[in-house]
Amino acid sequence: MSDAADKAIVARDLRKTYRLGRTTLPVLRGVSMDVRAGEFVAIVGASGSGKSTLLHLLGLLDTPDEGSVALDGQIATSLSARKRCRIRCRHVGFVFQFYHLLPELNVLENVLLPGMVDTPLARWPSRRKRLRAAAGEILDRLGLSERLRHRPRELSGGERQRVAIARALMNRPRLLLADEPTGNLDSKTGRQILELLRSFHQAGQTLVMVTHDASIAQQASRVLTLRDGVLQS
Amino acid sequence: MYKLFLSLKYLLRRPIGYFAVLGVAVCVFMMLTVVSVMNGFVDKIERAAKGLFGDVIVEPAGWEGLAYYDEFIAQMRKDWPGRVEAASPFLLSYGILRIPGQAHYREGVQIAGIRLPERIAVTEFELGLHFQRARAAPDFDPPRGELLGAMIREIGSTLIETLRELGEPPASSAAAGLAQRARALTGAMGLSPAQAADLAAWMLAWDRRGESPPAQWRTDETHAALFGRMGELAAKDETRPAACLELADRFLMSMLWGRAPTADNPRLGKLQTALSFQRKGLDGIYHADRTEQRIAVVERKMREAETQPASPDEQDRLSQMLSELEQQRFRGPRDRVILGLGIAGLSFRTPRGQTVRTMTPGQNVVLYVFPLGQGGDLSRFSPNPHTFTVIDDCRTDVSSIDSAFVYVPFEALQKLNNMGPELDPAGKVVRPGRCSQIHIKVRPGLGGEAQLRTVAAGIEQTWRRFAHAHPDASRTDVLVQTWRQRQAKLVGQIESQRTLMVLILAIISSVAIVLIFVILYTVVVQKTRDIGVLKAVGASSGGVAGIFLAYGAAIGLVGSALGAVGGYFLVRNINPVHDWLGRTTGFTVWDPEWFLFDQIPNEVRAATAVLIVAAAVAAGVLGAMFPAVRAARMQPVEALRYE
Ligand SMILES: Nc1ncnc2c1ncn2[C@@H]1O[C@H](COP(=O)(O)OP(=O)(O)OP(=O)(O)O)[C@@H](O)[C@H]1O
Ligand SMILES: [Mg+2]
Repeated sequence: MSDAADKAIVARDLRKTYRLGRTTLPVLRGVSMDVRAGEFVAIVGASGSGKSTLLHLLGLLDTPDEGSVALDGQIATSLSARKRCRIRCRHVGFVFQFYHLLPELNVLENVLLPGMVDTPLARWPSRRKRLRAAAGEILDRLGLSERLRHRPRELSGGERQRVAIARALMNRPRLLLADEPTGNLDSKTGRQILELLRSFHQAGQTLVMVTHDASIAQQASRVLTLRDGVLQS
Repeated sequence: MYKLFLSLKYLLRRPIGYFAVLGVAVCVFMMLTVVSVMNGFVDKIERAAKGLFGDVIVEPAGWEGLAYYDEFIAQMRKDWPGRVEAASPFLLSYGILRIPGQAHYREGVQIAGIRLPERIAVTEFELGLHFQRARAAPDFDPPRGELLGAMIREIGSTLIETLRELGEPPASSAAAGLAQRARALTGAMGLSPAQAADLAAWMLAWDRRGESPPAQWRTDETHAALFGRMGELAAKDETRPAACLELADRFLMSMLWGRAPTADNPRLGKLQTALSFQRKGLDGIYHADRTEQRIAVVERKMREAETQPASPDEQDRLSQMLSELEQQRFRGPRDRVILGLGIAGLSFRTPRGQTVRTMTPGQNVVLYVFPLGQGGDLSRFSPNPHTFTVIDDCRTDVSSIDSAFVYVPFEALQKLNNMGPELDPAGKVVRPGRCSQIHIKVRPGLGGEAQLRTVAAGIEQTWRRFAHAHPDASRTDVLVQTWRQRQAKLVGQIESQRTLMVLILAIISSVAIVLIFVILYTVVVQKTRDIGVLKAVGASSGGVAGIFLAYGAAIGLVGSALGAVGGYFLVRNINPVHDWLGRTTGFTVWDPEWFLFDQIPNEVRAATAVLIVAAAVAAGVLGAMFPAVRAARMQPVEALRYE
């Protein structure tokens, strides 16, 4: 198992079925996949094929009916809720199609959020400065250093998505999961966002991205297609 | 960290939360106001009742009274040295108060016979006294010098009030005369030459058109200090009051010189009447010896007129003189009375809130005492009149007491009430003197109601043994009660009112909980996506619940802080606010007659405030509980999938 260490994700036989009253909807019917550290994997598939569901399982946001997910060699599906929260907080970053920024918080506060979640109240005074510097640095890299005090509603879609990316990277996660990050943007802005993500990948970031845009998928080192609840590569 | 941070952000940036804060604030405000005022009531009644009756009361049924009270008190002290601190007999009767020379004045009063200074050991009677408030052991016979001093201060404060009523300084008067007078007067006051020059300059300035007096003499404080000084001088040396009296008199004259005629201003007229009455009282005290001598002379002449045939005119003249002198007479310590401050017609309050007394020490009143202790044939029942010299006045802050009670020496009332010792022709006591109640103060630390009941039970035992040995001590049953039992009707009423109010407010306040619940629930529903995001960045379910609990607590805390501050200021200023309401809307909630006190209680207990704030915070958390649980249970994935 020496190669387990450089496997960022090992998913085995994931199954997820939604029940709607009497009808059952098997979305995932035994998905297995491996992602190596530093890899850029694209997941494509038709709408409703279960891409988001899979991504949520990989990011420990949801639990599978069956199967297991191991992140960095650690089987997460059997861990306590507390530990799963901690892994999600420290090792996984999420970027969503609809940005999902908190409207009450400004740009800096939104980016700081994962840092705050990771810091108990008593530790905050001593860490505050460092976290703020880190958040400032990421935002700087994303070209948002002028917008620190702006609220999300004052930003354009591309800017919002960049804030969301900054937030996802705030705790320097080993794994970045992006669910159609360009799906809600015009093609030019979408390309910029993609460029950004690619540059992070080139700097060593493991990246799993859901998309149904074939041209985007081409840029990935590997493309997995989800169809009928199973992966076909 | 994020729990606190987010809850505060929500509090600040979600206007909907302001409603919850407002709701909590209003509830806390009402609660604090009502509970404080009601607590104030109970406290005041307690203080007043204890001030009147002590901690424990021994009282026979009916009006015949209790004999051998001194013996019984001695027995009590012997039986319960660790419990009984002090005890004193008390007499209660009814009568009519009249003022010589005022044919139309009559007022029904309750007459209390008390022993001073003994009574002070039992109750807090001394706290309400006005003229003897500075004395350690007030009694019916304070040193005359001190009384004079207190009287001069009283006149001084009435004068200051008159000056305030007069307003602007006079336009003109005889400058030279004033200056001379000022010099003479300041000399008499024992002021330094510099101060004298100041005072003279002041008086002169007042006299000159358009020039205002030196600032340092113009303040009310200066006036008060001036009269204070005069009072001090008078108290120290009994020969000085003459000079001070002069001074007060002339000071008054110089102040009133050339001012608006009193007829234009009824308030001024009332103040000047009060001043002339006060002046009469002061004269009465100051000239007590001279009056006494004159009475002796007139009485001697009357005796002579009886033995030697004299003209009836002469006899009429003499008896006329005697009755006038009797009216001025400063009577001995047995014939003195302390008046309740609030008896109709004897004092009034100016619009500025100053109490001005027309009936002061040194003046005489007549009490017609109904001899309630007298048994037997009621057809021979007629009031016993007796003249008393006023020596002080007293307030308990309970208007039903202050407007009705006068206090005279115990032994004097005993006689007037036909409860004094009855002697046979040989001078042997056939029936001992009686009192109507015995008031007992317990040792410190025994003041709680339960402890007081134990003490009362012990005293009852003592009484049963005592009654066995002295079968004629009381002809009726004797009750031993705590002050609370004695005042049960009043205290019970107010306490149950308080409970009721608290209950009603608690019900109203539960609306605050519902409000917080509804608002938080709304926020939780609106924030479903945010909750998903929080979980996505690693927040646990407990953490998400914590945000909303902290939000609820913060609403409770901020709301109750606002409400508590508002409530505090309202309660502290409740009397001015109430006065203002009455003036502007003509609507008075507070009728002193009705509510027993002339002032609405205005104290806020820290413990009450803390309790209410704590309850509000708890209510906030409680209201947040369910929404928080719901937020924690939320599955974030669905929320995150769509916009
Ligand atoms: N909570 C749920 N209850 C019932 N069905 C659900 C639930 N969540 C998702 N589904 C269904 O599961 C299927 C997969 O959904 P998912 O969001 O993973 O698809 P997707 O591939 O991401 O689609 P898209 O490309 O449109 O985003 C869909 O048919 C959806 O309706
Ligand atoms: Mg999707």
